[in-house]
Amino acid sequence: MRLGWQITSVVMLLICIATGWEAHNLALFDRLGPGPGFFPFWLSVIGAVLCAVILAQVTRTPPTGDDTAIFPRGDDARAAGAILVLTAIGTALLDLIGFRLAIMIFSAGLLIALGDRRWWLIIVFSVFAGFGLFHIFNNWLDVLLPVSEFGV
Amino acid sequence: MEGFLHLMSGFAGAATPGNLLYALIGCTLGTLIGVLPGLGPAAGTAILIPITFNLDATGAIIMLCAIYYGAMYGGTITSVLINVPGEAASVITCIDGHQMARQGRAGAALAIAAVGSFVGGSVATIALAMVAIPLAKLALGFGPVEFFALMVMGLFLVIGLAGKNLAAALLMTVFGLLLAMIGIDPVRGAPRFTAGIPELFDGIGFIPVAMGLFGIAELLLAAEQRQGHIVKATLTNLWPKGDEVRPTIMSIFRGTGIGFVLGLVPGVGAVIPTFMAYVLEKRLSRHPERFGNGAIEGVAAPETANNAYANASMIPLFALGVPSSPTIAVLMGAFIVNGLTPGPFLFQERPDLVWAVIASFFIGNVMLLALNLPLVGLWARLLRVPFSYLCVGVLIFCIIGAYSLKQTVFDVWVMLGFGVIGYVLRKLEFPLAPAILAMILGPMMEKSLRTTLEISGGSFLIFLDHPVALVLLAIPVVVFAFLILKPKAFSQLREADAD
Repeated sequence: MRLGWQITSVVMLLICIATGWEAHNLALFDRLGPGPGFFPFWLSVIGAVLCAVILAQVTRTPPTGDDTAIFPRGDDARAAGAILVLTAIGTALLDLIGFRLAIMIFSAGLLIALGDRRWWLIIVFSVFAGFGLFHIFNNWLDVLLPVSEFGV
Repeated sequence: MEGFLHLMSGFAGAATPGNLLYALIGCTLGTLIGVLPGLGPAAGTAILIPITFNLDATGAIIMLCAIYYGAMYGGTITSVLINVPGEAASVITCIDGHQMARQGRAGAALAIAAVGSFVGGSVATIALAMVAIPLAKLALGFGPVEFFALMVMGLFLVIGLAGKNLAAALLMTVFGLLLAMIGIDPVRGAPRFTAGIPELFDGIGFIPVAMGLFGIAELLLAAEQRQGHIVKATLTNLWPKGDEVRPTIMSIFRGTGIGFVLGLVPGVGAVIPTFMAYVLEKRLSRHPERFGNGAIEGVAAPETANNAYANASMIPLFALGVPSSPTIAVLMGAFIVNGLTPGPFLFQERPDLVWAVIASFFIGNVMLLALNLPLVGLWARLLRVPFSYLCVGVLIFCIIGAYSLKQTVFDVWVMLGFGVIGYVLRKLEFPLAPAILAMILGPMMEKSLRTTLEISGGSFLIFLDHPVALVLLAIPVVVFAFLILKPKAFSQLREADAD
């Protein structure tokens, strides 16, 4: 937990420095008044000060014995990892092979990764998720979803 | 009286077959979201925004509001039956609600929660109708100076009550405000922080960020905490025992008052009213030892406060355009997606929409009562849906929702990225509510501050010439002074909310 706070503070500090620098390069003031850089510049300054305060607070606090790891391990980590990786793959496939196939593959892959082995149910669910939802959203709700170059 | 007449005209708009259907669908989906552990009202409302894209603005907002208060009730079912709150505001209901279920009185617990929610929600809606017009008229006299002060007040109250660490809450606010700065500058039209990426010229979409921070992050957390055991509940006897009726009625009234008053204060969150209502009932009871062992007042008061809060928290949004919680911020995002800006001008520009939506709260409360009492067994059965299928279903809705806003896969990546950020920040116990509220208020805050400084020629002393703005700015200063000087006074409530 302590290390997590330190890393987050440093990352946020870097973000504040970068945005502050870019905001400074935009006009802070122009002839009409505050320019486009005014608000983000001062926000970055406040953010950087807060990051420094948090970093100092956390670093000055002595580490405690019950400072356990916050991220999961084993099966729980695999489940969270599978959700992230397969959602990323599904997203990458959306424009390439269209919503229907991408979501079908994503659904089947994630159900298997989360431990389901009822094949007929996986097939029915995945086909409905890909083709059924496309039909409902595209045709009934007028929500346009990606279609591949091959029309699928 | 004026509010009452408008409310009557609102019923005419809300009671069309189409709007009744949208309210019913919203209540059903909301209850479903509330029932399913790991999916809160903010995530649920954000995820379901795409299904409203093809609706007219009134129907869309009616449905999304119904999802919100439906979710607030739905969380009770899991609290009572499996001792797992479907959403944070139902945590306190677990204590006595689940004990009642173990004693074979789940039916009575759920029935009193439904009745209490109905009373709390309906009274808060009447008050909303009465208060909204005077408040909106007052706000119509506001210039950029007062609007900036109002937004600062709303945001800082959220920060003050958001989490255990004040500096972390402030940092999350800065993070949200900086996210809101990405895109074209609203005053001069200059691109900012876009890194040359064309998709960022319109800014980072609020809805994909909300879906990521709440929806995806909640799913990742839920993947670690699978469901508990379902208690085989008896749902036959729905009504309290004879000697329980009077104290139950009184606790419903007290819960309504607490929920309504705290709903008006930005940043309080839905947990604190339920917590306070429970504590008050325990203090006032002649037999406090019954609390924790299945006291019906321990279910009635927090559940009533929960729904009174949900409806009352709409008042700052409708009358002032200031969201008071993350879910209300998501609803504000839905208004904006539909081309509407919540606030006093909406009462002038679209009174038909505003009053139809307010009237729909009543209709939705009646629907919830009708849906939840006879169908409670059906909702309980939904808890048997395996996590893997629930997870895939929610993710698909997230993907559709993020994509369909601008028909670009870029927004899906944004959602996924913020899902990871939200997951890490929640693991580290950084509060997310200030970030999401700051993100939606950011553009308006910047615009009003810059206009103020243009008027004053760059001098901040202009705030001293505007007494309303001074009072609004003084409120968060007083709260922060209390937080710093008397940290213990707030710590118990803030920890309850953060947990």
